[in-house]
Order: sequence, then structure tokens, then C-alpha cells
Amino acid sequence: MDIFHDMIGWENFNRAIFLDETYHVALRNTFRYAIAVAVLKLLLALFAALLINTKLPGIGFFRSIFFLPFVIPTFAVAYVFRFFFHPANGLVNEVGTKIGLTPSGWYADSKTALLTLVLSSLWGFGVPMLIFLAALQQVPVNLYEVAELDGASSWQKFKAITLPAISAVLFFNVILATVDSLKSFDLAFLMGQGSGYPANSTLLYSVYLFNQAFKNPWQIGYASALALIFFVILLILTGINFLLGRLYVKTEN
Amino acid sequence: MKTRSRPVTFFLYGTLIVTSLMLLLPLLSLILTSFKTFEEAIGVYRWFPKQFNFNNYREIFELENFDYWLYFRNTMFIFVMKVVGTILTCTLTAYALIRFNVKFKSLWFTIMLSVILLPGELLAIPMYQFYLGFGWFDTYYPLFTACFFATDVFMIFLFRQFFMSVPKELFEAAEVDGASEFKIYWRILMPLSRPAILTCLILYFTGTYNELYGPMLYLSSPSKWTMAQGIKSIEDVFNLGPRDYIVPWNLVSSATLLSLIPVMALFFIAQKQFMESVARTGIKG
Repeated sequence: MDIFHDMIGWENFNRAIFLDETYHVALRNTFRYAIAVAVLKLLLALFAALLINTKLPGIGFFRSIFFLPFVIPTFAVAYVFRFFFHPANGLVNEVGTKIGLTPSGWYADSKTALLTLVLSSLWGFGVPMLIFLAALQQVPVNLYEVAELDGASSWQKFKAITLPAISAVLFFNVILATVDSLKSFDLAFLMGQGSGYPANSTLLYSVYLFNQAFKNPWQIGYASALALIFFVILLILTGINFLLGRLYVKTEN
Repeated sequence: MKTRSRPVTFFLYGTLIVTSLMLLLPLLSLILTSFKTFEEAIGVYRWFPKQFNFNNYREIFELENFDYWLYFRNTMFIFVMKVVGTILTCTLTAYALIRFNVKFKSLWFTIMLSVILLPGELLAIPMYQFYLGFGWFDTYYPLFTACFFATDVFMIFLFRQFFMSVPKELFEAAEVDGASEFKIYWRILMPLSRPAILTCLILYFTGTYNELYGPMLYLSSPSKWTMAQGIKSIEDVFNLGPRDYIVPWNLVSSATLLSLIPVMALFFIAQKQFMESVARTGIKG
């Protein structure tokens, strides 16, 4: 077999980088989406993990509820959020008008569709939260007790004990959130009706890649080129993350 | 344990309750939809059904091509195989990464990590051709075999990060006592990593439970279907052709809720385990 049959050199890369405007839209959307989702999701996950790591009476009940975002399958989440953000009779607009906000078109308006997708994606903070929680469980309690004897405030304890103790896991979560939000597919595919509706405003990189590869006219070659470019982008960003990680990761070893 | 001041406790509970309510809304919506009629469920969205009826739940068990227990057993089988393979091989790999100084270790690690960066859709094509060549179509092998070769880099990375936070003195003390490498791994590191192992368990459970892509690709005979495939098939009952694609959300909601019961049970157990590990940290500290 001649695997070099029908090789077209750099044509696919040339097309992606210089010619394909829809691709550029997808790239821009993906970066805007990923930055917002990664930052917000991590903050939310850390906040939630700290909250359910407290030893209040009845915390077990709240923990079980906080685990919920895990269990509901993505297709059900997409369905529910479509109704929450429904422009005509959705919950968000309903509550919004009551407190004096102008109703928005949300996912039906190309100006707000990406924002709607970001807000819906935050629902998935469960994985980083669980990882944060597991890390918080391993911070020795006596460290806090000593700090309390010295009269340290909550913020001081968080900065001096918690953050260094979970820094290795924080680093893991940062890498993962960056890569995951850039690779997001499910929700964007479902909410954007598979094509970045409306007007390509929710078209993410992986959705565009999928459409090129598995939809008519099945441009596997072009899709592979896109995947390789994507891989390089992710590699560079992860490299940057590793460099940044040196600034804040403290290990025992 | 220290006592918190009243306003702080009040604030914490307030935040917990508000966040919980927001997290419960989608589930609530799912529950309410499961009591609706077909017409209500596909029509204009209203929160509450006109009348609560349990027909959907009965219909789920009467549907000719939907077997809840069969799908549950199939899914559990795949889950157990996947999680056993992953925990064994990935913890060993992570152990090797933190304990042994191999040549070019950081290079190997970087290569491993870069696998996370590959888009999953891209890997699916060669994997499919590979497994087909083995004659593994319509078997469970393609769904879990890879797990026995430490292919889940995410988990290796996770375990490595957890192992790294174990004090070095523990290893040194064990070495002084003449413990073998395997003993250090099995008797010291593994018990200390219970929260991480539990995390892996939960992620795999829900992952296997919700995964549709792999099973749809490989399992064709309905007797081998997983839960996600089963629920998906309900949609097809009402599929009137590619143009009139109507999803019977009432049935899908009730089936989804029924399928959630085992997952919820696992969470209940898991969260107790988490509490136990809190207690253990207390004694250790």
C-alpha cells in the first residue's frame, strides 16, 4: 500500500491558517470560551470544595448535593439548560425581569449565545471540586490547630497552610481545566445544534473538527490537519502552564 | 475542633443552602418532567405538569426494548473491569514515576502527558480499526482492555500528584525497616491514597455510566447494551425519521432518574468514606 498516495503537501494547513474564515471564528470562540470557563470553573470548584470540607453538622447532606452535577448525563443537562435560558418563558429571564433586568435572547441571540454556553458549562465543576476535596482531606489538621493558637485569621490560614498543601493538586487542576475547556465538545455540540447555532457563535474547535471529519463531505485529511494544529496549541499552553507551575507548586520531595 | 462564631456559621449555612438550591434545580426540572405527559414534555416549557402521573415509570418497564436490569448488569461489568485495570496499573506507574530515577524520566513523563492533549475524536478512528482487526466487534473487550495498560494518563497524573504529597520520611522509615518496594506501594502508599482511589472510583463509575460514544461504536446487539445506550434507544422509539426528530423527554427523564439510583447510592457511600478519611487525618495529624 502506498500511504503517500494523494498527498497534497501543506495544502490543508495552508487552508486552515490563511483561508478558512469559519475556522478562525471557531478558534476565536474557543479561546474566549476556554479562558472564561477555566478560570470560573476552578474558582467555583475550589470555593465549593472548601465549603464542603468544613466540619459543620449536617455537612454530609450538602456534600451529597454538591456531587449532583456529576451524575446527571450531559444530554439531560443540555435539555434542562435550554429551558432555563429559553428567551420566551425560561427561568432566567423570568427571575431577571422581576429584579429589573431586560430579558435576553440567550442562546438564540448570537451576541449572548457563547455566554450562555459558558454559564451552562460551569455546571461541570464537579470533577475539579472532587479532586480539590480529596486534596484538602490530606492536609494535616494539627497545622491548623497550631496556627489557631497563634491567632491566625481564616485568610492567613488559607494562604499559609491550605494553598501550599494543595498546590500540587491545584497545578493538576489548572492543566486539566485548560485542556478540558479548550477541548469542550458535548455541551457545545448539543446546545449549538451540532453546528454552532446561531451564526457560528457557539462553534468551538472540536465541534468544527468533528463536523469536518464526520459530516458530508467527510474531509478526514483537513480534519487531521486541524487536529494536529490543535495538538500543537494545547502543547504550547500546557508548556506555559508547567513554567507557571514552578512559581507556585510546593512539594514534600 | 474549634468552635466558629455565630455569624460565620450562619454565613456558611446560607452559602451552602443557596448553592445547593441552584445545583438542585436541573434535577428538580428532570423530576417534574418525568411526571408529564408526552404532549406536555415536548410542548412549551412549564415547570409543573398539569397532573402528576406515574405512567412514565410504568411505561419504562413495559417498553418492549428496554431492560433496566440487563443494562445495569452490563454497565457494571464494564465499570468493574475498567476500574480494576486502571487503579492497579496507573498507581503502579505513578509509583514508578515518584520512586525510581529512570533515564530521561521527565521526557517520558512529558510524552505521557501529551497524550491527554490529543482530541478524543482523533484517536477513535485508529482505535476502531485496531479493535476490528482483533475481531472484537460486538464484544466488551474494546471498552476496557486499554485500561489494563495504564492508558489513562489523567489518572496516572492524579495519583502522582497525590503520592507526591506523602511525606518523604515515611518512605525512608519503611526502607530502614527493610520493606520491599512492593510492600511500600501496597502497605503504605495505597492505604494513604484512599481519597484519590475513591475519586478514581467515582469518576469511572459516572464516566462508564454516561458514556455513549464507545458502546455505540462497538456494541451492536441489544443484549449487550449499556444503560446510556438503553436510554438513548428510548429516543428512537419515537423517532419519526430524520426530519421529525422528537425526543419523548417525559420517558427519557424518568429513565434517566431510574438510572441515577445506583449512582446516588455510590455517592452516599463515598461521602461517608470521605468523612472517615477526615477522621483518619485527624488521628494522623
